[in-house]
Amino acid sequence: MFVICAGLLVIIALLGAPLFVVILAASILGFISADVDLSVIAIELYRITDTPILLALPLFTFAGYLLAEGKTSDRLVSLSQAFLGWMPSGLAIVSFFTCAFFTAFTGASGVTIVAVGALLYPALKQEGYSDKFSLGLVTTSGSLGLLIPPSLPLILFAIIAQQMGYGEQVSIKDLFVAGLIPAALMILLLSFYSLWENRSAPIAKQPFSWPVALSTIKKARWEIPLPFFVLGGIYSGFFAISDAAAATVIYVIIMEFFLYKEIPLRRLPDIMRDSMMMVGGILLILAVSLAFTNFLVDAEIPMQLFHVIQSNIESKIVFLLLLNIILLALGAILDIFSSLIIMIPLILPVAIGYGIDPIHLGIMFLANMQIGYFTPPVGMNLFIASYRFNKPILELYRATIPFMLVLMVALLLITFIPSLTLMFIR
Amino acid sequence: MILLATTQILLRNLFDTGIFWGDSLLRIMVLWIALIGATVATRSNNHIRIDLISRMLPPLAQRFTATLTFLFTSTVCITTAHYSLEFIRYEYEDQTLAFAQVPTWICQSILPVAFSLMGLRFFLQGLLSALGKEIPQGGL
Amino acid sequence: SAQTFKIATLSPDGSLWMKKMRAGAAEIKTLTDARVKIKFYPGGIMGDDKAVLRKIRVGQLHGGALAGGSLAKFYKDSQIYNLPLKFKNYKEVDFVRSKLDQKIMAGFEQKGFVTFGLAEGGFAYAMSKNAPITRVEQLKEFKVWVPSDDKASLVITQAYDISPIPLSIADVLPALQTGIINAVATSPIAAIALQWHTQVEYITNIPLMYFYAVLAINKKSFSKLSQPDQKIVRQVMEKIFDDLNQQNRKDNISAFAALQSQGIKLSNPTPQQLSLWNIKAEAASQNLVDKGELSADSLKQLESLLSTYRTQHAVAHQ
Ligand code: NA
Ligand code: NA
Repeated sequence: MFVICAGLLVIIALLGAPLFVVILAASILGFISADVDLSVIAIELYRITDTPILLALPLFTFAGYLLAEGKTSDRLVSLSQAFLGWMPSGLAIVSFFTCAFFTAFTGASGVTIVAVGALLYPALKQEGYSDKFSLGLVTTSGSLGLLIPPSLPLILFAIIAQQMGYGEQVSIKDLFVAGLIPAALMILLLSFYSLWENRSAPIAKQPFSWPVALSTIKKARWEIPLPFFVLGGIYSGFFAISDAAAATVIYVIIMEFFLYKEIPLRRLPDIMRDSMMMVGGILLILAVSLAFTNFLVDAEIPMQLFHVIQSNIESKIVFLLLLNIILLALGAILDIFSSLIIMIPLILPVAIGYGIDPIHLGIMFLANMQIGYFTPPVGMNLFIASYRFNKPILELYRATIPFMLVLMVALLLITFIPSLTLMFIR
Repeated sequence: MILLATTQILLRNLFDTGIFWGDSLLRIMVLWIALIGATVATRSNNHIRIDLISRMLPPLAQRFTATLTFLFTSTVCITTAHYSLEFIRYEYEDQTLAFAQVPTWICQSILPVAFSLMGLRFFLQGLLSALGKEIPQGGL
Repeated sequence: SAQTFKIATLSPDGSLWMKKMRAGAAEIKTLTDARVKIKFYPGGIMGDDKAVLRKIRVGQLHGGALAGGSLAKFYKDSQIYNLPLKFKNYKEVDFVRSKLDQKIMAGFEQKGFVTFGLAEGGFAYAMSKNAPITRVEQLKEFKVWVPSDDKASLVITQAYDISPIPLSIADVLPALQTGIINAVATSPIAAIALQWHTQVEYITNIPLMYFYAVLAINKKSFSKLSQPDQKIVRQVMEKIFDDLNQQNRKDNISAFAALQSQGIKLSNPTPQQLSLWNIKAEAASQNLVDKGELSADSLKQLESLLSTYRTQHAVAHQ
């Protein structure tokens, strides 16, 4: 019965039913089989109002649409050519860093893709990077900063470990330090991949020259303060994330409509409508995922999965490999906070039993979750990018797979060379 | 709506007016924006989907499967609307307040409304595709 | 007949609280020959107290470990211990609780929740970033966190002219970090467990409010058990809650010291400053009664118990 229903759902999904409906239907079937009142689904949908970080999503989306409507990405391209044109894969490498720092704050909630990726994608293409590469880059970079402080999942890991009585081994400070080299390793490997992949791409080389640089600065004079204003404001603690989002919207409106005067005011309602549809599409999937997660939790499925694996392990290496596989799978289905709350209490004691340092485990866990965001079929960032860049989901699968492989190499290095995480703290 | 949210946040920062329900209101507004946006997206059939098979089917089969998919989608939406209404009924009986003097059930009322509208629209699109009419298509 | 209770808690699996609860569940299972089983959903995975109560209502869950104040919408006088600045120290708490706990539990039971004793949460102290809080007027200058949608805390914060920022517990640490809020009121153990202590610099030496938690099980489901099984569950869980209650007392006292040893500065208000805090607190309690959030009788009873204790205590001192 269960298999038949699941099979029918897969067929309906492949026939083109909206994804949110497929997830919703799965939750409905799940709750019916578990004999749980279906109004639980509405309770879960309403829980997205408990998540203040989501406030930033509509605002950053709107700002991103406005910037994309103007000529910001053109100016971004000339700016990057002037300053990074001498450097192979310059813009790609800068993109990795920008996305990573932005995500450290927004916690990979898709905000990076709609706010930063939306600008970088046309800019990368314009500079001569292939469509596939550009698409893959902005989609995978949407979760790249999870290991960089003060990313919320890092903090949450420390809180859970603390309450389990491992507080002395897992201080937030150590965890923040431990994430830095793995994060740098990921960016480094991605940069090498970018150099190799684009070795014969038609990207114009341009030697650095002051006059050109100054003229591009002048053209982009209103945009240049924006990243400093947003990132600086957040890092200094002057802005909360949602405040930064609101301030960005105001700034971008003033810039586009009054300073550059690039967008006619009558376009505003259309842009608002488009960004609202995007936000609706994304948040609806997020909300129904909460309901589906609740079914998985109710039926204790992640726990059972872990127990099956735990009872079949013989060595530390097998344990680590299986752990990575199960975490990747979970990362693709569950949101990161549910995964942390469910899995850490199960895994941590077992891992410590194998002599794995809790901090090492935490970084490994989050590295997995980071990749899970764009693991087919259901990584959330794939959908967000599909919506934002108007590309079929299959094209996104194809575009992200090479990046995923690169990050898997990083993951294996992080898993099997503990000193990458522990060298500065133990 | 987005502008209102912006104004709210700016007010709090610039003037420290500190409306204690401001954040609750904003978070509820996110839910409303999301569901209204999704309802609007339904009009142009602009939802994320993993559409693998139907492109490969012959036109008549495509029409059949599209009708089937729309009707299924409509059923799921209406079911969700129905149970959202149940959820709100409990909340209505409890008379809890979400913020200021606004009862929680009013904040939640967007759930059944949006899902009913989506269900209705998917149903109409199902009829249209059964009749072989053009369905307005969004980008995806 | 056999019954599996599905219970949600906020504490993550592996925490002391959950270890004790799981031990209790195992004991109950053995003693009832597996007629009564308890399944836990720890770590807040089922949502905050509000979501848990909704899920109890529709039957997905049968119970939850909840803050006493969360059940106030069913039984208003459960907030009686949460009134601001009522207790000066733990001795007063112990005296009052020995007289009133039974009444509160009876109140819950009458409103459809079986509970197994009150587990102390401890005193909440004001903890702040950047500057200490000693004068009551200073509160206006801070962005203070209060638990989401808790009516009693809202009325109290209004009495102190605070414009509180309501957030769910999981969001408090990042909010402290990014400056959405810069002051919280919480117990020393909670501050350390939730890592809030890494973000605050000052703690004000006034026990602002006392709070507690209960394990509340839907009475309808509980009544389905046979009388002997009900008795077993009660005995085991009451023992566990008594343990948790005592353990939390010890932990709070040592956590209070630990906060200071980690460099958080204790600020003591002068007696004049303290009396201003007290005047506002009195007004807040009265306000709750006026708004019908609390019965006048309960407030009177609490106050007379406190004055009885204080008279005896003063006499004993002389
Ligand atoms: Na995910
Ligand atoms: Na998800």
